[in-house]
Amino acid sequence: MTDFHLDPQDERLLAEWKRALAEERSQRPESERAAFARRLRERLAEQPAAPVQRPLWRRPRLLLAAAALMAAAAMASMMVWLGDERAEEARALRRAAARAPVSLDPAVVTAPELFAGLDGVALVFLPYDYHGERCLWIYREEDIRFRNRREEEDFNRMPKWRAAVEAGRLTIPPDALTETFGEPRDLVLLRVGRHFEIWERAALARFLNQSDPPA
Amino acid sequence: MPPDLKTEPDLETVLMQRFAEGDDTAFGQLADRCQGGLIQFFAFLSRDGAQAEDLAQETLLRLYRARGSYRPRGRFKTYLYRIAHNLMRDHWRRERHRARDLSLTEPNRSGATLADVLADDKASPPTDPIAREALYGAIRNLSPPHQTVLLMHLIEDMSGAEIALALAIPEGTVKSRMHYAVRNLRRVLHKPEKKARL
Repeated sequence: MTDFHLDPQDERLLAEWKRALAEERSQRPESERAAFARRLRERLAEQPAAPVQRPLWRRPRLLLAAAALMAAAAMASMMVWLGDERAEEARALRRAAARAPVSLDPAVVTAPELFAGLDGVALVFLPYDYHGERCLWIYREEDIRFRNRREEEDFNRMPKWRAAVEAGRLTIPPDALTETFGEPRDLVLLRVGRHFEIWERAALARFLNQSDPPA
Repeated sequence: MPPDLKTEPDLETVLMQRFAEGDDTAFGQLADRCQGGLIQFFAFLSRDGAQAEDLAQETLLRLYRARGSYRPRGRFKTYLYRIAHNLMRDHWRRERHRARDLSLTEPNRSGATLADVLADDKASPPTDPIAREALYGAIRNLSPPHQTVLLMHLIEDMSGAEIALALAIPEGTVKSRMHYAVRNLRRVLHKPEKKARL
C-alpha cells in the first residue's frame, strides 16, 4: 500500500506498472551497465578531487573550538550566578547593619535576644574576605553544606574556630579575632539571616558607603 | 513531515555517507545501484535513450562533486532525485530555446538529422510487448510534472513525502498529481469496453 490514498484497484495498477518498469531495468544488458560505469570513471578522472567530509571526531580544531565555547559559556553562567549570590549577601548585610550592631568589647557578647534558641548550638568561626574587607563569619555547624568535594577540601584547609552560646552569652575565641583582624579594634556583631558576622566598625562603614550592589 | 533517519538508513544512504567521508569505492557501488533507475527516469522524460544516459552520468557527477556538502536528512534517493529533477528542468529549459530553431537537415550529436530520426521512428517496429509499449506511451503523454511524480514512485518506490522533499513542493501537490496521473493512465490503458448494441 502506498501513502497516496488511491483506490485498491489503482493500487493494484500501480504495482503492475512498477513491476513492468523493474522488469525492463533488469533486462538491461550487463555490457551496457559496464560501459556506463567505464564512461563514468573516465569522466570522474577528469574531475578535480571533491572535498571530503570529515566526521566531528576527526576535526580537532572544531572540537577544540566547541570545547572552548562551552567552557566560556559555563564560566559566564557561573559568574552570573556568583554575582547574584554576592549581591544577595550584600543586600542581607545592609539590612542587618540597618539594625543596631552589637559592640564587641570585650569579646564576650551577651545578647540573649540575638542568640535566642542558640544555647548549646555548635558555631563555627571562619575568616572571610568580603568586597575587599576582612570579616569573621559565624555559622551554625549544622548549616554547613558542601556543593562539591572541592568546597569541602577548601573548607578543611581554612583556619576555623568553634564555640557555643551558653545562657545567652557567646565567648569568641581570641585567636579568631587576632588572626582575622590583627589587633582587634572597635568590632561589631551583626545577625544576617541564620548566620552572624563580625566586622570592624570602620570596614563596615566603608562597605555600606559603597554604591548599592546590583539588584 | 519530512522523512528522517531515526530508523535504520537504507543501503544507498550508508554508501553515500561512506563516500562523503572519503571512501571512493562506495561511490562505484552507489553509481552501479542507481544507474538503471536514473536512465529509465531520464529516458521517459527526455524521450531519448542516449540523452538519458548523458543525464544520468551528469547526475552522478554532480553527486560526486557534492560529497562535501551531503547531509543525510532523508532517504538517499530523495537527495539523488532532487539533483536529477533539477538537471531535467535545466535540460527542458535549454530544449525550449533550441526547439525554436529546429532544422530538419542539421545533424544532431550522433550525426543524424531530424528528418532521419523521424523516418527511422516510423520504420522501426515496436520491440516491446504491446502492453508495455502502451504503458510507456501513456506515461510519455502525461505532462512533465505528472510524469516526474509518477516515475519517482514507480522507479524508486518513493513515498509522497519523499517526492515532495525531492521536488521541493507540498505533499498535497504530489498526491494530487499522482491521482491525476493514475486516473489518466487508467483511462488510456483500461478503456471500458463499449456495450454491444442490441
